[in-house]
Parts: sequence; C-alpha cells; structure tokens
Amino acid sequence: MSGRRRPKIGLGIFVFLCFLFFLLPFWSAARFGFSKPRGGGYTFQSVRDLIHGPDFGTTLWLSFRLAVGTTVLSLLLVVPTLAWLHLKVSKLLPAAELVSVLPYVVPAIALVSGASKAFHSAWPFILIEPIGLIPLYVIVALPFTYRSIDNGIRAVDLKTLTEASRGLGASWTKTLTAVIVPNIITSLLGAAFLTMAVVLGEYTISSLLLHKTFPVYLALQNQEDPRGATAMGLMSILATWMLLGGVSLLGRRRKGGGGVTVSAFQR
Amino acid sequence: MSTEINAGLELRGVRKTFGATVALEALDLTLEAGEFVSLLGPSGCGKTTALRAVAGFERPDAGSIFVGGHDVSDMPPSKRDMGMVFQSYSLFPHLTVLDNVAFGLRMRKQSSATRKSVAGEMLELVGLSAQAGRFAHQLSGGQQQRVALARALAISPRVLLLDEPLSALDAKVRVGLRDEIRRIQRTLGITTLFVTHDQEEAMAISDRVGVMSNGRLEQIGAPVDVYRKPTSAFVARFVGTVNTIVGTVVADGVTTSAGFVRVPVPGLIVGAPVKLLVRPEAITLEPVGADGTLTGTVTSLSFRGAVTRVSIDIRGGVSVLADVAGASAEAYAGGGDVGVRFDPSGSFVEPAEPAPGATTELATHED
Repeated sequence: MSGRRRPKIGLGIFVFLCFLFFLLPFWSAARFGFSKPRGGGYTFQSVRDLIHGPDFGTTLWLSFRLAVGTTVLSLLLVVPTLAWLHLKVSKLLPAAELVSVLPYVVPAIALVSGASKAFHSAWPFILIEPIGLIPLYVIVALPFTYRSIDNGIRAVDLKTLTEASRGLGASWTKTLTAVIVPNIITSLLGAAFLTMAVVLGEYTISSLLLHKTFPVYLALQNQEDPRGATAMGLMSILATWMLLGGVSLLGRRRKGGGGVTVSAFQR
Repeated sequence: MSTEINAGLELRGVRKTFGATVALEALDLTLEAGEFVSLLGPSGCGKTTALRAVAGFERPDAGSIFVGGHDVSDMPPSKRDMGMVFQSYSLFPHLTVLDNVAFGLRMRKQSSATRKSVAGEMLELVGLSAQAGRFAHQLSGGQQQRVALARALAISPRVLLLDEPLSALDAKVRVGLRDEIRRIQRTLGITTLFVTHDQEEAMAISDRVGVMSNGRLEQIGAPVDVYRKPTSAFVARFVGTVNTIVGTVVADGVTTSAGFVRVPVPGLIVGAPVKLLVRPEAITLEPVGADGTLTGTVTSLSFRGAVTRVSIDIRGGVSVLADVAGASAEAYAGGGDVGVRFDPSGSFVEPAEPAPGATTELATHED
C-alpha cells in the first residue's frame, strides 16, 4: 500500500508546487496592486485613479477595436484557408502548421523591423495608422487561431459534410457559412477570444510603432502609478480567464447536445 | 426544385485517373428513367469514383455525363439536382432532423411553409416523423441513414445516388433499410445508381447489376443473368461462390483429377487446360455409385439457414462445397461417402491461363 501511495503523494506535492509557482505571482500582484501605499489594508483607489486617467478610455477603446479587427481578419483568413487545405490539398497541412508556429520563433522586434523596411515607402499607413497594427497582430495571433480552428475542423467529417451540402445545392460560400462555421463554432469562439487576449495584452509591436494602445498606456502608468497598473493588469488577466472559461463551458454544453443551433426555417 | 424529375442517366467514355492509378477506364453506362442500377465490385474497382463523377465530386479526365439528355459534365455538384446518400453518416450535426431534410429546399430558396411541408412528407415516407425535432447524435445509425435518404429525396432529385449507405449498419437493420430504399424508389419511380460491394444487397434490390473490376464494367444485366450467365471468370467468382477445379477439355466435357465432368465446352479445343467453375447449388448429392456421379466424402457441414453448405473431398485432392436445401442435409451430418453430380446449368469453363489483363471468355452453358 505504501508503495502505491508514495507516487500519489509525490505527484500531489509536485502539483501543489506548480500551483504555487503559477499563483504566487498573481497573489503578490494582487497584494501589491490593491494595498494602500502606506499600509493598513486594501483599496481600489489606485484602479479608480487609473480609470479616471486622461488616456484610459481612448487607449482601451483603441485596443478593443484592434482586437475586434484582428479577430475578424484572422477568422476570415484562417477558416477558408484551413477548410480548403483539408479538403483539397491536405498534403500541405504539415507545411501550413509549420508556418503557423513561425510567429512563436520570430521576435516581435524583428517583425516590426521587417514590416518597417517592407512597407515604409509602399504602404506607410501600416506603420503610421493604428489600424496598420491589425495585420501584424494577425501574424502574432496565428499560432492560436490556427490551432484552435484546425482542431475544430479535425473534429468533424469535413469532406462528407461539405459534399452533402454541395450536393444539396449549396454554393461554396453557403457551405462555409451554413454548414462548416456552425459546426466549428466553439473552436471559432476559442480562436476569437484567444486573439482578443493576445491583442489586449500586446505591448512590444505597438510600443515600437509608437501607438498608444491599452498595454502601452498600462506600461506608462506603471512608471507613475505602479500599484494601479499592476491591479489593472491583474484584472485584465482575470477577465481573459473568464472569457476562456466561458468558451470552455460552451464547448461542453455543445458536446452534450445543448449547443447553439441554427434553424433551416429561419429566414 | 427541378422541373424534370426521374431523368435517365448516361455515362459516355468516362475516364478518371489518380496519378498513375486508373480508377475508371472509358466507362459507358446507361440508366433508363426510373431504373435502379447497382454497381458492384471489390474495393478499388472504380464504382465509387463512377458515382462521385456523376455527382460532380470528381471531374473526369475524359468522357461525358448526361442527365435527361443534357450534358452535366461541367456543372458543379450544387447545380446537378442529384440526391446523394453517403456511406458515412452525413447529417449536419447542428441541425434538427427536420432542418436537415429541409436543407436542400432552403438552398433552393423555397418558402418556409413549403420546406416544412415537404420535409414532413419525406420524414413520413421514411417513417421518422416522430424524430423531427431530434439531432443526429440522438438517432441510431439506421435512423440517420433514413434521414439522409429523406434529405436526398426532398429536393426531388433527377437521379438518386447511393454510395454504400448500408455498409455501416448491422445486418438486420441493413436488410430492413435495403428493402425500404427499394420500396421508396419504386413508389417515386426515381432513377437510382447504387454502389455496393455486397453482391447479395445488389442482387436483392436492383433492376440491373453492373459488376466492375479495375475501372471497367465487366458485365451489366439483370441480377439473375449476371449470376447464371457470367461473361467472365471474375464475374462468376465475384457474384456468388464458385468451386474451382483444374482440368483438361475432352470431347463432351472436362476431365479432372477427380474424374470426368460432362459440361458444355464451346469454342475450346480438346486438350486445352481449363478451370471448371461450379456453383455450390449446382452440385447435387446422391447415393454412392449413381450413374454419372463422382464419389466423395463429406468432411463438414455449415448451417446457413435455408441451406446447409456441405464440404466434400473428392478423390485426386479436389474439394468442393455443395448447398443442400432444407432438412435433407441432416442425412450428411455423420459424414460418409456420397455421389457428387455437377449440374451443367451452374457450371462454367474458362481457359486455365488467360492472357494477362484480358477478359476471359467463358464457355457458359445456355439454358
């Protein structure tokens, strides 16, 4: 018995240590961010000050628009591309997967440097206008969107569903919107929320291109009010977790048959 | 919905290759309007490729496909007005049964009332009205294929294509659904192309059966003709069971190591090495020493319901299988010697070494 228990105890200690390693920074950040400057309890004052700061609303709104734009562009690019790869040229899937992980190994500064050289004369708006951040964010978020959507597509019999739809008179576009998308909706939501999380937390690219996005604002505030910036950063992370938890819950509900449905009788 | 229903189907010289593999070799096939034709053959013979070419999912390298006299070769699948039931379950998981059946009508921009009415009718036709509000994962395999059939029929297709729709089902459900498909096909009079590797299935429900091998249509005809008058050794072997006995042609039959067998040998020269192919039901068991019989020893019995398959060793190292109907097979349960008679009407002769790749012409007995 003791021989069997020993591995379980060892595993328990290991998991506990991992748990501590993961949570301690958050606990420390919470203690620091919400504590009063001279001790004596906790307060939301630093967060309130930050929210009422002059650039809070504008930078958050900008980052939100960038997140939505990046998400839409990512899904518009990746869903049809992956569907096409799976249906027509599945031999290229390993190569596509390799390409999708490149953003992991290419540093953001190299991406900005490359984009500057490539676009500064032809399409300078990519470097000047905040909207120009969207294509760069699409690249940064690609490993997440690719994997999430690829997993969703692999979980359905894409070939048969597509052929059934086409045989019943649906065009390619209709097949994509009326059959493929509804059947991988959980993966799409996952990809969308991951993309938004990436954009709402991206600092390097926007900072290097001198755009004042929300993460850049938080970093600047960190120099003036480190407590408020830390507390706000922590709250951003918690909000992201809640979003991802919601996606996971939705995915479980769908597996149980209670998911989103689309009626053919809807106009 | 299509204005021209129950159209005939014609494939003219349809050829399809995948790399170096020839899937279809100039296939010619004609289905009359309202006819039920099965393509039968082993895996890789090209039958599914032929069906997919008709559906528009495979583009032929050469040849044309006509539906109701119109060339549809260049039409996308969405414009061909063909209903298809797939081997794998193909219902849309996010839609209810009713919405699945109505999907094709929705794509044709039919009104909501029409969609609901037609989908309801089709579900009634396949006996699943009570399941209209359910999702695919709440149905059995047989029910899913019924819904898939209703969905294919709801668009009033000009041709119904069935790609081994029964192969994933258990035996009892398979037979039930097979008969139901035939009943519905006859009721609607819809031109149907059915692909299967199960010869019993094809024989049971088809007006005509086409046997395919290596991308070619070896033979097409009424099930009884394909079974009783195969035009090649491949067809004889693939459709039903045959005993193969090596022998030599003599004046009025074939001599084998087991003895002489009287069988027609038209077009074969005396002394030519041949293979004698005999159906198990063309072998009758009689008392030992009966005139014109060979003597053999019963080695085992295999009960198959209506018939019992008896294994018999004849002298000279020849073993054959014989089907004995009803309770009379019990007489052989204890083994022992029997007289074995070959019925010429179920026996065929083929040259022992046909030219490579050539279709073997058989010396078949004409009834």
